[in-house]
Amino acid sequence: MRSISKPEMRRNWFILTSLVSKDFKLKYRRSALGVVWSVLNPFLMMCVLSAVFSTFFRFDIENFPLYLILGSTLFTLMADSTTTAMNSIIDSSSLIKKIRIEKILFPLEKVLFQLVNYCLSLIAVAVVMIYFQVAPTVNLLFLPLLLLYVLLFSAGLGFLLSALVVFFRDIGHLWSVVITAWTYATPLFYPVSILPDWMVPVMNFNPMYHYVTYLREIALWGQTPGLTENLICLGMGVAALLIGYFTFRKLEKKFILYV
Amino acid sequence: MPEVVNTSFLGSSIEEVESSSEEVMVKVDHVSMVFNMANETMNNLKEYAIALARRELRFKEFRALDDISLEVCKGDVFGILGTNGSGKSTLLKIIAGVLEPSEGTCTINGNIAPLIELGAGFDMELTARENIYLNGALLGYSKSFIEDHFDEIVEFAEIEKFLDMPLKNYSSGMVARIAFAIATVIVPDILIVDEVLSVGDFMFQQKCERRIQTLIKEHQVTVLIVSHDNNQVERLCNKAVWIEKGHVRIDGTAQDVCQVYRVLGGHIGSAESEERIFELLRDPSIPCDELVETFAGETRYATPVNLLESLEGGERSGSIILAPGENHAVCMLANAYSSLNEMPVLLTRPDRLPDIVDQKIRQMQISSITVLGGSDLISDAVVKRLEVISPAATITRIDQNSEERLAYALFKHGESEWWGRKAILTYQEGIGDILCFMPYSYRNRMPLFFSVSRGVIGEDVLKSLVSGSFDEVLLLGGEDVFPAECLAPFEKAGIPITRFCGKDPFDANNIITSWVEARDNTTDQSFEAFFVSIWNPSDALAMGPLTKQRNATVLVEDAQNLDSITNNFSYIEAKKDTLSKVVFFGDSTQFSDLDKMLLLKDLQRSLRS
Repeated sequence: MRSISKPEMRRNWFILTSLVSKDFKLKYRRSALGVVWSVLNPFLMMCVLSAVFSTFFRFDIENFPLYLILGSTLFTLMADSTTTAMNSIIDSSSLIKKIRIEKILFPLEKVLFQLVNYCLSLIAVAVVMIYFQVAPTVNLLFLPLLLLYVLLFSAGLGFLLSALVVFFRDIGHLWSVVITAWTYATPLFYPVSILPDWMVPVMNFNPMYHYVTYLREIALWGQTPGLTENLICLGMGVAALLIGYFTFRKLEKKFILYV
Repeated sequence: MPEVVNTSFLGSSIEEVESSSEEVMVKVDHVSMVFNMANETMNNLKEYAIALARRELRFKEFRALDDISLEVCKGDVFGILGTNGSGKSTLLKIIAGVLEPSEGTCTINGNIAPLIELGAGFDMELTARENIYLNGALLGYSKSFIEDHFDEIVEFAEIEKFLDMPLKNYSSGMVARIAFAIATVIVPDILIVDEVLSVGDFMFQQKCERRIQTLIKEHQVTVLIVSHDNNQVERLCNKAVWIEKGHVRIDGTAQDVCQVYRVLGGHIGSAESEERIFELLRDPSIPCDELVETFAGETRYATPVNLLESLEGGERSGSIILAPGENHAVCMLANAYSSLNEMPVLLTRPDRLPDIVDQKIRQMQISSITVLGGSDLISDAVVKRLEVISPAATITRIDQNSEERLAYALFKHGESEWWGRKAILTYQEGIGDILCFMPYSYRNRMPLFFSVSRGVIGEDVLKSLVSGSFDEVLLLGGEDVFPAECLAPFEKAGIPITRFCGKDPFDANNIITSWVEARDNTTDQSFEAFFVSIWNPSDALAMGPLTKQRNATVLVEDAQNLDSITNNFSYIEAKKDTLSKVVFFGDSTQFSDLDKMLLLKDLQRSLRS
């Protein structure tokens, strides 16, 4: 791995924050409610989904809307960050072609921006928690740790996708399908208990299952996640990051010829 | 774009002593850049899989740069010249660190401010203020640096009033100004400028140049400039390199390289021609320009007036011919008709008499004006104007609207015993050949005939040609214009035909010139060479009377074609003893001062030897 000097670090950090603030400004420019949408959006989503699922499926879940919003917001964080990160290199082709710049900053910035969005949507989660009178426990202090795991995982996946999509644009189309499939393969709207027996071991290989469960444990069920669980979540995040990072580093030199 | 491009190395003029004294800032060492064209076009998995299966990957190679080496020292202002697609920008990208060379290395000593295509990274939705911070960040400035220099940037870009307006509402010039201001607010070690100076208005361009000059003079910044603009490179740079199709053609001082590029860059021609011109260019002697004369009026209508003034007795001439200047074929007819009694030819716009012609006619005592063409070619308004400004003159209008009919009418109009015993038969587009023939045809008062269309000769034209008035018909045009079968009547009447047809205009020129010389030894006495641009002969349309008075030989030239230039060099060298003057018909866009100087150099050198 290359060594990065301190001024370069500072420079890269400034680029990152500038890009995040640019995305933030652009997202809410000229909308009347502006940043409120970041809170309102997951909340309205939750209303729709809980209306649908509590009418048609009737799962026996306590505080179902809270169960739902916890899962779907976290999943959205992963889905949005990987999707936007994937297109980040292609979208900044004009820059990559013209200035010498650390290319990995582009997917990383997208992931960070989605994290900022997620933090805003936590307000909606808090509102729902208050409504259902679920008192926060000390276990909620594990949240930053979980966000770190998810961040590692999403960044790794984002690096991998952004590098590959430069060479094969098909991946861009394919990914939206994968995300949809993944949404249903993760217990976001349904309890794990309804899964057939053979699915349970498979589910153990779904990182999002672990992250979502982790979040529900600390926010909904008031449980303390065990060491094994932490290690699994961390391990999956680190593995994704390493694969994504090294693939990106290997391919980035050729980007300019293809973007 | 020229198809035949020479890429050989012409030479280097950097003195070793000079380069060793300064620190090397940029060192490009045997750099090649290879693009894989097959992979370039593959954008999806299917294509990739197919290509993989067919083993077509890494198949087509394109060498954008081939073994380029150069060194730029501290404080140098280094120009990179070259035609489009020659690899200049690729080289700059490699130096800027955006692109990695396929082979060789590029070493940079210091930080680089790249001005490659300004405004990369601007977001049109954001305001100018936001963009300044964003772009500054992308260029690697720190936040405090941008804050400190914010006012400076705004002031340079002249956008104080519009700071909080989204960039999409800005004009492109304003965007370019901001981009340039941000990029040059820092004092870098190396500044890279890629044709950015061509954006923005004149004032801004000057401002940019001043800023670059300040960086050079006050801060000893090393600058690399890419440009098509020769003059700009010559003005700003001290050293330069010319790159053609990925090869270094020549490097050295900016002045030398620019001069060579100006003459050879973007021109077509064989390597021998190029070498000959290059060698001539390197000849330090300065020719005297007494031997040169140029006819180039502000418009095509002004040139005939100049010609008339330099014609001996031209202004005392009692009769003139007026032809429509936009119709070259009719102008040629005017010259042919003029040969009968050497009347000067003036040209007019189809709708009105140009002011300069109007003035000239009023100055002269004119008793007769012959107007060539019906109202389609010259409007009645022109004739009415002539009646007003020259009431004493008799105005004769040859009222025909097609070139072919007009030619015939003119022949009939002139008394048949005045015309010579030879005639020219040609087609409407063959202006170059007619011009080449003009000295001979004018001297011999040859009438000019046009075909109706390809391969069709008008009936009465044919009758006149075979009627016995002519001993010979000179045919200007190949088989495609005059196929053998349409010439059968001449054979029957026993009239010999001489056909002139060359591979290209220059070849035709040679054929005609040598044919004429075999008959008339005009070039044995003192003569003048008339240079006419093949692409735009509009300044030569009324030169007929002058060709006779000056005893001229006409040479057509394409200043973009080195072979054409050297062809004429050879002619001039062969005739150096009797050549008294070189006359150019065309302004500096047709014949640049450098072209003229080279010709003179060549002439003087051959005179010396």
